[in-house]
This record gives sequence, C-alpha cells and structure tokens, in this order.
Amino acid sequence: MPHSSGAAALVCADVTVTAPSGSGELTLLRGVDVSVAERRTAVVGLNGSGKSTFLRLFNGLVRPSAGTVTVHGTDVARDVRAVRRRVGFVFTDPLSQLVMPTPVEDVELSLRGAGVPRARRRAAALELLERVGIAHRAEHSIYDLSGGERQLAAFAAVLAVEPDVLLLDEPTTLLDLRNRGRLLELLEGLPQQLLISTHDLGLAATAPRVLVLNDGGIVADGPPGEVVPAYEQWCAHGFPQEARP
Amino acid sequence: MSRGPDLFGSYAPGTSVLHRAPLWAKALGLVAVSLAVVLAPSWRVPAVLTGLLVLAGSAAGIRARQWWHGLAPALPVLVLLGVYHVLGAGPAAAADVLLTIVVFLVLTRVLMHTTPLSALLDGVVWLCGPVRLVGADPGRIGLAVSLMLRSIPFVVGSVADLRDAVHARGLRPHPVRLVTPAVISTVAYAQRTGQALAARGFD
Repeated sequence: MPHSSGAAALVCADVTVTAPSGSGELTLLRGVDVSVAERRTAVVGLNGSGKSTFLRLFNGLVRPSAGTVTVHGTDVARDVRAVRRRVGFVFTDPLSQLVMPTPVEDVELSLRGAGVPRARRRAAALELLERVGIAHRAEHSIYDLSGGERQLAAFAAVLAVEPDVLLLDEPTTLLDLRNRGRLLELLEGLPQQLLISTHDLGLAATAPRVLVLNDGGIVADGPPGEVVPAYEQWCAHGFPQEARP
Repeated sequence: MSRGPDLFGSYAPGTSVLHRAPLWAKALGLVAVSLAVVLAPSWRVPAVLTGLLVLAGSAAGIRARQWWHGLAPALPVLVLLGVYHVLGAGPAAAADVLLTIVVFLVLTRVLMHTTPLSALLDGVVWLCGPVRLVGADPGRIGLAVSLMLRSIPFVVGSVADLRDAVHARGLRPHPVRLVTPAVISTVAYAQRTGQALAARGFD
C-alpha cells in the first residue's frame, strides 16, 4: 500500500468528520489517515461512501471533527484562505459553480480575484476558454450551454487562478462521451496535482494511485491495476467487513 | 434545468453607439431618465422616453422577440396595477404608473444588452467605494448584485421545472404545492453557490 508523505502532499491525519442528522450524529469519514503526493490520484466509492467529503477537506469546505488536514504543509484549519488560493475545486454541478451570466465573465471574476488588471482580464479569460475548447461559447448565457460546456467553463474559471492542486468532484458525471474525452485530454496536460473523485473507472484507471472509500473509511489504496478490479468485485459481492465499524 | 424567462436580458457583443459608450455616460443617462420620470408632471414623459429607449435598444440589436420576452412576464402585474389605478385614480394616473415601470424595464434591458456584467460590476464597486469608510467591502456588494441577476433565471426556471413535475404526475400545479419545494430548491441552490464561492476564495 503506497503511503506518501512530504511537503508536496495532501495529508489527512486520523481525520473523522461527523454531521448532525435527525437521529443524532452521522459519521461521514472515520479515522482517515492518508498522504497523497502523486501528481494524480483517483478516489472511488459508492454513493455516500465519503468521496466528496474527503475532497472537500482539502479546500476547507468541510472541517474535520477530529484530526488534522494539511495541504503542502499548510494546516487547512489554521489558514484556509492561503489554502484556497492554492487549491481549486471543480464541483459536480457546474451550474452552482458558475456565478456570472456568461463563461467569459465568470473567468474574468476569477482573474479579478487573482488581482489581474482590468485591461488584461478579457483577453486572458478568452485565452483560457480557448484552451478548454469553448471560446466560441464565451459570450453565451451559461443557461444556453450544454452540461459539458458548463463543466469546461467552470474548469477554466478554476484554472484562471493557477492553483497548485485541483480537486475534481465527479467531473465526468454530466458529460457525454465527446466532452468526457475532451476533459480527459485536458487533465492529461495539466501540471497541477489532481485529486479526482469519480464513478468513472476508466478515468480512475488513468491515475497511478487509486483510493477506495467505503462507509467513510479507506478500504483500498494502490495502483489501478490492483485496486479497480477489487473494487468491482466488492461492488458485486460486498465490501470487506473489516472496513466497517 | 429550464432556463427562466430572460427578464433583464444579457450582454450581446456589438459595435453600436451604446455598446461603445463608456460606463460613466450610461450611468449619467440612467440618472437623467430616472429624474425625468420621477419629476415628470404627466405620463407623456415616460411614454416618450420608452419610445426613445426602444429605438436606441433596437439600433443596438435588441430584436422584437427579446423585447417581448422581457416585458411578457411583467404583463399580469401591469394589467392588475392598471385596473387598480384606472378604478382608483383615473386613466392618466394609471398610464403614468404603468409607463414608469415599463420605462425602467426597457432601460434595464438596454443597459444589460450593451454592457458586460463585469463592467457593470466594476462600476458598482467603484460607486460603492465610500462604504469602505464604514468597514464594508464594495467588492462584496458588486458580487451580491451580480449573483442576484444571475440567480433570478435559476429560481424562475426551478419553479417551471416543479410545475412540469407536478403536471407529469397528473396533478394540478396549485401554488401551495409549488411553494415548499421551490423554497427548498432555492435554499439548496444558495448553499451550493455559497460553497462554490468559498471554494474560489470569495468568502
């Protein structure tokens, strides 16, 4: 089982996340202890297994009830602003993520936050949209874009601030095959460290390291050649009992 | 999700005089129209201004269909208000009230059609600069305005989706059946948007 460490790692040290529920408290993650330093890591698991919660820890969108989370040496709980400047998050539903009426304006908003002067923003935004392949839709309303185009626009908005780490929460869920291919191609060329939660085992298999989450805990961690077939088996026949509380 | 009615319109690139006009000139125009309408002694002033703005907007590329899409959702309210004012204060007063509303709807559409929202945002932020004196952040105010404009079509579209869902189940879309899910979906949308903003560092 690979277990990386170091300053360029995303680290969860014995992290538990709980949330209030109607009947008391719900445990979303339990005692997760992992360090991720690979340039690309995939996280797979059933719905409700804790994948999104796990990803959100590294952007400070979810706070641990116990344990600590660090991103490249910075404690997320201590300096969430610094972490968010370095960590971009792409949500499953881009319509929630795009806050401006058109893709170009949304990317401009990111550039504005990054301190890019007004005179340079439009050209830089169009360049980014060109890079993700939707420059021809730059001025269209986000409501007129397809799901794939919205996802790519959200992606461009995140890339605009040049993060060191990208967290992608089920990025291919809403995409058709063509846009999925386009996204995979784009991910391949990115220099950032990527942590991708996904149900898309094809996408997971492109990462050198795959984590399997079940019931809020990591039940497998290794190269896709070993982990993905095991995960498929568990989906069909049940997960290992020792992973459960 | 359905797209809600395009109440205010959105920016369409162009080279018309209005497209090329600087933001400060548009702001002055906005103030001038507002003062003229508010201080006008009769309905004729908003009527003339509406006509002029429709001409200017059409020259900037706003098509008849877009004018209709902007005004149609307001028609039920305008009719109700018209009847109320005709009965209560007479036709001239009713025309004054209705044309005052219409002139601002038309003005908003012309402004939105010819000005990128990011430029408007810059203007709002500049205009709100003095709030720094009391510790507020003008950037946040500008962002709130843009979020409001961006969210109206979402909320209206989600109500349309709910109406369709009720129809699909063979029920009548009674407003009471729509209110609770509409509020829940709007709150959930607000939470997701808040999270997305936080993730982008706008917290």
